[in-house]
Amino acid sequence: MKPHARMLVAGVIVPLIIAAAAAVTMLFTLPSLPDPVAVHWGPSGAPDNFGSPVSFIVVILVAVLAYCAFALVISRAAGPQTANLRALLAISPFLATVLGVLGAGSLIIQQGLADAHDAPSILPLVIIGFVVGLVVGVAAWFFLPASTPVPVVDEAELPLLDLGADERATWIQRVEPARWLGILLVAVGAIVVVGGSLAVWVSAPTSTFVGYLVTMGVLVVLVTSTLFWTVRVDARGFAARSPLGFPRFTVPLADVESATTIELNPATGFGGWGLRWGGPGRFGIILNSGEALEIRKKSGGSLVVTTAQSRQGAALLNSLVRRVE
Amino acid sequence: MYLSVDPSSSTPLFEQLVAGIRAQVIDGSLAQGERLPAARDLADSLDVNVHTVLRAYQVLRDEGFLDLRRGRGAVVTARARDYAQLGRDIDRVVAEAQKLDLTPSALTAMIRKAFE
Repeated sequence: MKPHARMLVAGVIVPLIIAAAAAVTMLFTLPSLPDPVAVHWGPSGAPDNFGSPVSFIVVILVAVLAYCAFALVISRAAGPQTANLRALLAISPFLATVLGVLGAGSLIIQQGLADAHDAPSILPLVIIGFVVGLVVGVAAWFFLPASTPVPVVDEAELPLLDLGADERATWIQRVEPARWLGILLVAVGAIVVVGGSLAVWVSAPTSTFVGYLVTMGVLVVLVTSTLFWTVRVDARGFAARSPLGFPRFTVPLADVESATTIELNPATGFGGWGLRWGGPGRFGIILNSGEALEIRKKSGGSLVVTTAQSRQGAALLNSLVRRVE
Repeated sequence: MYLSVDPSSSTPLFEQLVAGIRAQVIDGSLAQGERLPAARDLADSLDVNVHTVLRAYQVLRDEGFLDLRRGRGAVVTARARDYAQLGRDIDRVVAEAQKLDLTPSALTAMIRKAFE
């Protein structure tokens, strides 16, 4: 089976079959159900909300259909197959199974009841649903095509520059998030910190408020430290350092296989922004779309950083490697 | 920012740094407001003394290309503007000097005199 067909089967077709089977099962239970049926259970295990069994079926079908539509779109997106995409697709049959077991099961346990208030606890069904869902999801993960390997680069096409035998050269760039990403993060951060602080201030004791502020402060520092980087190439090799000095990623010159400049669309190539995996052994500091520097390591895998003037950085790194060899 | 120095050259290292950074400000690859690497980082990277880098930054500040501020580091100033016309004029002057068999140092001396 072709990789794309596997993506369709696991992400769209199987979940639809599961949802359809659950819906048919639910339809067969309709004649022997109380009206209304229990549609929601409280933390005590007793039902606390009631509704029509038909609307229940519709909600589950719509939820599965919506995720299948999403899976269909992402499976057709251009770009290499990544671990992120694989996980997003494997979630589709997991979701359909959990919803199907919960939906069909919750109607089956109500069959023959006169009053839905007497419905038994749904907890066993939740556990069964999650376990079966996990098994199906993991099976889908292994059925889905593995991430595409990093494409091989033509040695002759590597960027190079003139470097004298005694010349010392450096390439240093500051890497910052795309403007819209920065604005979005500041806005979300402000809402969480200010809104959350207010909510905690009015509803909890002062010690909780202080704890909340400290936690938020640590979070803001951690997030910020992965958004701003200084990357450099010199005789020691490659290094990307955040303002705090940690996290920090380095590739010693002796471990550099080659460096290239690539065009990156994080929505497909790496499946998001931030520090991420983009395939086996391929790690990225992705803060922009567009050009990025990719460094392939002799020890396997590669490091990708979105940065301006990536061609210059790649050329210097390749030239330094050639000079040592 | 790409920079290189050649320790085997007769030009002092700090002058090589000055020339490299100045050229990038003039050709626009270092834009106004851009922050240069911390002197310590640049010195480590090029395996030169940190005072060599600081001296280069100071020369560029005196020339008006950089702003040196405590805590902010070295920032490219608004002086970085369009040098295209000047570049073309210099090409003409150099061509004229070559026609007259003037050495670069003789031409520099003439330019310096014109400034006084």
